[in-house]
Amino acid sequence: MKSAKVVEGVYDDLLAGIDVGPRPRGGALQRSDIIRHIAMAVVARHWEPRNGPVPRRNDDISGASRSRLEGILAAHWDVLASLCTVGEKVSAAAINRLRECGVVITPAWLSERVAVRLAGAYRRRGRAPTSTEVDVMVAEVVKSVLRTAPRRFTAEQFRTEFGAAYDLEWNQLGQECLEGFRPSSVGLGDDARPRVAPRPGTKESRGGWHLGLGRSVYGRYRLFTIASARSRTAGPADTDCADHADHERQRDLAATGAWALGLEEVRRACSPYGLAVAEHGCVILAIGHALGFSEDGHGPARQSKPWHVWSAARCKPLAGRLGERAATSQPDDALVAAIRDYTDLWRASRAGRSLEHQYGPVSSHIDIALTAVSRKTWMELHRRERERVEPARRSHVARAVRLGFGVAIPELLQMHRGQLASGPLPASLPATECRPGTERLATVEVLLPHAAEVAAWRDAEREGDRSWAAHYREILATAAGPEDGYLTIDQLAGVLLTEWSDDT
Amino acid sequence: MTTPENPGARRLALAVEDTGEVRIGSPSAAPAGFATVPISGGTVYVDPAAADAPPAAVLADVDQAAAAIELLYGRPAAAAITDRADVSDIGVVPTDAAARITRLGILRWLRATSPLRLDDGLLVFETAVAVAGCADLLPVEDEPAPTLEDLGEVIVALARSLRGASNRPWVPGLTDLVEEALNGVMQGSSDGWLVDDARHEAELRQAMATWEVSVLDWDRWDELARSARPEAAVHAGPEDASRPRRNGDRLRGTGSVDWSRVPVGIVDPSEGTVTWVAGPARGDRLVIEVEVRGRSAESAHADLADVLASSDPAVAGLLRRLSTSRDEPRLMFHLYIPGFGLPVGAGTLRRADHDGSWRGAAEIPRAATAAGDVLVDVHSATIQPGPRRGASAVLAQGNRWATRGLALLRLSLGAAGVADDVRAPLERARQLFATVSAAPSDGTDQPDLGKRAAARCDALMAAYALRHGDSRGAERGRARLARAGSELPADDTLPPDLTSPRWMPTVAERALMPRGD
Repeated sequence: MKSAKVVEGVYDDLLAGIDVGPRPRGGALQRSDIIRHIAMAVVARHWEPRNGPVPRRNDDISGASRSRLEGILAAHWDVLASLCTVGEKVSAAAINRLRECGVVITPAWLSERVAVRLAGAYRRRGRAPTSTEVDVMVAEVVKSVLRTAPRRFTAEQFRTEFGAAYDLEWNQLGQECLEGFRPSSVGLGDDARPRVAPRPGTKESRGGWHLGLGRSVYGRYRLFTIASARSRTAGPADTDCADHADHERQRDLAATGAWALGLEEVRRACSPYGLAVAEHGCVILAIGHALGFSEDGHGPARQSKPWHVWSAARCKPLAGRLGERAATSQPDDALVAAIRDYTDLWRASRAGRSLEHQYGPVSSHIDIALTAVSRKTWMELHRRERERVEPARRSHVARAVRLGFGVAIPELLQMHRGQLASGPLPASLPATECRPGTERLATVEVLLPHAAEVAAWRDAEREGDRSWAAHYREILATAAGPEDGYLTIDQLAGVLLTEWSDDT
Repeated sequence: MTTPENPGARRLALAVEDTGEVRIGSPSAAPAGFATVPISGGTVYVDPAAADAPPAAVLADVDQAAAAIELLYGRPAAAAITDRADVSDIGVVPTDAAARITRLGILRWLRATSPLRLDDGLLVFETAVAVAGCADLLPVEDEPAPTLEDLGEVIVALARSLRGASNRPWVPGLTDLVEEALNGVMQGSSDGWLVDDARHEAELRQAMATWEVSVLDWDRWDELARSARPEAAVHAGPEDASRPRRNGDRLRGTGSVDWSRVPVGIVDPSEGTVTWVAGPARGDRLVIEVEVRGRSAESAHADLADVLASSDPAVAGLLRRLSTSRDEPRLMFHLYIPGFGLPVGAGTLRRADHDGSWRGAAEIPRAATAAGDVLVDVHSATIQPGPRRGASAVLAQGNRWATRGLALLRLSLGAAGVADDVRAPLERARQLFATVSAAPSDGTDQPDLGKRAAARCDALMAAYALRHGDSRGAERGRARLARAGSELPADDTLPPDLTSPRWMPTVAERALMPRGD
């Protein structure tokens, strides 16, 4: 007797060509869709009622039932193959039709839509669709895509339509925002005006979160129309929020129209950190405060463990106040502390420790960490603004931060090592400038006899404790050089945090 | 560990981390490091030294990752993650998806880590095919490497060049790879012209295979094939860092580059390639001159871009652009001394035109050389200074030796002739890991990691010996594993199954192997 196996696994084995002849080539259809929809429809159509209910996808199946199922598939292998061939035709025709409508999509994204319709047709009629039925199917697939994907401008059309509006908006708001909210200070990219569209004749890499604000305005607008840039799931499980339905209400992009979306993106590009919603800008600012090092060299202070507290209030709206400049803005202190805490938690996790064993301590890669978390979170927040009416809440930001640490940091570390500097590039990472300076040399000279104390200063500074500064002043008071010939306390604090190497 | 009822199945633990992430398996004791592959909602950790074992995964968003987890590990694992509770063992079955993502992970590992001089163009091409094959698992928008669509023109040009060559390919596996790539372009590209070209090429290839027609210029391919040679020995790097010494008044020493701190491929990956020498004292200061042995830009043999250049220079140019770094890397160095955590000097390294070496100089306080040793931290300008020292540095060095050993072991699976080189680096790695494991506990997990990584080296050597009919070597390895076994997770003492298809060398690696004809 054949051993028990989940129905889907039986299909999988068969499609891998283990027990029967050549595997039908799905072409445009993904294997999982062939199994879950088309193969199951074929079995359902030919399953005899006297043998009990048709096995469902997750049922365990063995013995005679399994043999029956395998028998049906083997006997109707040619049907399965011909349905796959029809599926490929439907997919190709729908892609062409959509391209004419300005929507670019790959067969992988149509796979399930096509497979579901083919399966339904076969269940109903017991044969492959006729050419007329295929045409209807193509129209249905196209319509279903257009319902969620607006038509789109080409890069050149976008430049023509929005170039002047962008210039105007940039002069009124964008330039000031760029100066007040420098992308480089939060790891989002260079402090430069984004291009309105790629240069004529060049192709902008698709990329993902890696690009940060290095993406042109057209590239950001284009995210509205790229299927792979859309949310794949409904979002975090925060259905217990009282106002969940309202809060997760989707925007009607088809009704909004391509021109309005283009203008919306122009305005967003001229907003702080390229995000229109002030709360979202505050999140980026908080990441910068938590992971970055401010210009006076003072690093993140260590506090108690507030990540769980902050993220547990999932339905709570985001806090913080965005002023005219980053310096006059107030990020949510609780979020800043939560992200710092999360950094410690993540470093202590198995994955964090493994990454540190492989790449060295995250403090050595702080710019990479900031870049990764900031850009990944930006991508999630930008997606939120594109898709939903309401701003994100704590649950969304917590998820974005987790993805930033868990997905983006490993990826960027590996990219840095592997020089994946082509194709969709991460925008340039900030580079450390080499400025040894006479003050640093003089400071090292006076601190060399105090190695053990300096190690304790470093530990204190990591905990946000500056009491060591008094001792440093005492040492300088007895030093021979001029008062301004040594690193300031803030500068030394920065060096302690960013250039330290434990001698163990 | 394997399960008795199904030798192919493994049991992995599932744990919820304090971060809220859900972890399947453990990514921590990979002796030659690991590759990460982002999936929807998480990251998969592929250990290239355990290619036949299921990879580990860390999920930041369980809901988003559920579909991929079901494909990778099977339904029980997918059900378990949604419960978000620790489970000591979930049965996972070998899946096609796990094999695909392992393949992609190994390609990423080769790209980011391998000391071998692999053909960048071929590696990028093969990676793009692997990425397309994992489309149901990956977050497509996030893929940083060039995709099949980016490489569309290259693929069509390559197919044109290779037409009819299926019975004598230049690189074993290249024909299949091109075929897969053509299918991928047809399925995944939104560019109508490209799809038409790919379809045309695929049809021609089909027809020629059917009619057994061959039209390739064999002289050209044979010439290219002859120039290929295994370079493993060149880059395994036999030297270790030596202690500092005085030459007259001048203090000097050598060190090694920590691979994790520089981009791959720009410095010589051997040990002991960093030299420093103190210049004459100037008052209270000394100048330290640093030199790092570079890696020449020229490949020892013709690569894929060279092949295409003869027929289609524009396409060859596209491939080179997509497979090499756009920016000249910037390197720096910081100088550290024993017992002091702050750098005592720093400078920029510049590449010398004549030999590709990297050179720079920095002033340091004279008192800093009192201990007689200087540690040179060579690093990319995009990361912070701060070298690994002590046990961390030994683990990193062990990791480099294990990587060399694994790189050679993988080559040995496809060709004879490199067998003698495999054991030495793995044994060196084992010794280094064992040093750390023998050290008194310091409150970190480093001794444990050292012990596990040492066992993994033993397991690799035992598997290698078994594969090559060396019964004494296999027995020795098994005895060592048995001694260590009781304290370690079972998977650490399990010699990998080198006959598994998942261990098959990549096409980029096969291009380095001597041809068997």
